[in-house]
Amino acid sequence: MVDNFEDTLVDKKAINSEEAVIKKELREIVLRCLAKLSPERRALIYLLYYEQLKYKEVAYILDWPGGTAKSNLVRSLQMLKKCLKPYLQKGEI
Amino acid sequence: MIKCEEVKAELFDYITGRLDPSLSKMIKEHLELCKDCKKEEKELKSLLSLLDTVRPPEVSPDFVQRVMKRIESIEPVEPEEESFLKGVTEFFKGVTEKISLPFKKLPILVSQPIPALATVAILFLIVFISYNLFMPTKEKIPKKMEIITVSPITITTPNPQLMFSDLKEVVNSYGGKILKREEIPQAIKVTLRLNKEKESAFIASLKSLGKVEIGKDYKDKDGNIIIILTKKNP
Repeated sequence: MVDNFEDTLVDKKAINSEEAVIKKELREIVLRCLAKLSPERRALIYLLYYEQLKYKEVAYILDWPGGTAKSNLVRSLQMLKKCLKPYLQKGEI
Repeated sequence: MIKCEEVKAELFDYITGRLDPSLSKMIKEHLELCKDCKKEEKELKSLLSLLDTVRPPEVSPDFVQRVMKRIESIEPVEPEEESFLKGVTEFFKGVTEKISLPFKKLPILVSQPIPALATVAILFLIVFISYNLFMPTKEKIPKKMEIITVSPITITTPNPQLMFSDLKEVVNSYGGKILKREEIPQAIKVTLRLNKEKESAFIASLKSLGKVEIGKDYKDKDGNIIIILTKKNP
C-alpha cells in the first residue's frame, strides 16, 4: 500500500516535471515567434491583449493614424498563427 | 446577414469582449452556422491561449504604493566600508587593551592604527608629490646648463663687433673655423674649431688682441673652443 503510494507520488512528480519542461519549451517557442514581429507590432500585441487598451489608445501611444492599429493586429495575428501552426489546436469539429 | 470576412476581422474583438452586444450576438449566431468561421475562432482562441503562456506577471493596483511604503520603512544602514573600518579599529583597540602595560604606552600607531596609518599615508603622499614637483630630474635640466659650466676664454674690448672680425682673421690664419656666433648682452659668444696642435699658439696670439682671461675649461663637450668677447665698461 505504502509502495503504491510512493510510486504514485514519483509518477506525479515525473509527470509534473515533464509538463514543466514542455511548458517551458512552448513558452520559448512563443517568445521566439513574438520576437519575429517588428517592435511596434510586439508593442501592439502587448498593449491590446495583455494591457487590454482600446485601439484609439494604442494608436495614440504608437503614434499611428486611426484604423492602423486594427489592420496591424490582423496581420500580426496571421504571422503568429503561421509561426505557431504546429502548436495550434486545429479547429476541426 | 454578416459576411465571413467581417466575422473573421472581428474575431479578436469578439473573443476578447470588445464588441458591443448587438454585433457580438450577430457573430455568435454566424459562428453557430458557419463551420469555416468556427474553425477560425477555435484557432484564434488556441493562439491566444499560447500567448497567455508568456503573459507578463500582473501586479496588484496598489503594488507601487506598497513597495514605496516598504522602502520608506527600511532604516538606513551604515555603509559596509565604514562598519568594516570600525570593526578593524575595534579589533586593534581590543588587542592593545589586552597586551601588557609597556605596549599599552606605545604611540598612537598601535592604539589607533587606522587613523595613524591614514595620516602616515597622507604625509607620505604629500612628500612624494612635492618631491616630484619641485626636485628637477636629470632630464629636466636644459642642455644649455652644461655649457654654462664651461669657463671660456674672455677677451675684453671696447668694441666686441670689431674684435670679432679681428678674431675671425686670427682663427683663419691658424686654419680654424668659426662654428657659431651668438649675441649675448654686452658680449659676443664665439664657438670655434681648431686643430689641437695649433691650439696653444692660437691662444698665445689672442693676447695681441687685448686683455685675455683664459678659463680652466674653455672647451665644450664637443671639443670646440668658446671665446667671449665682452665689452669693456668705460
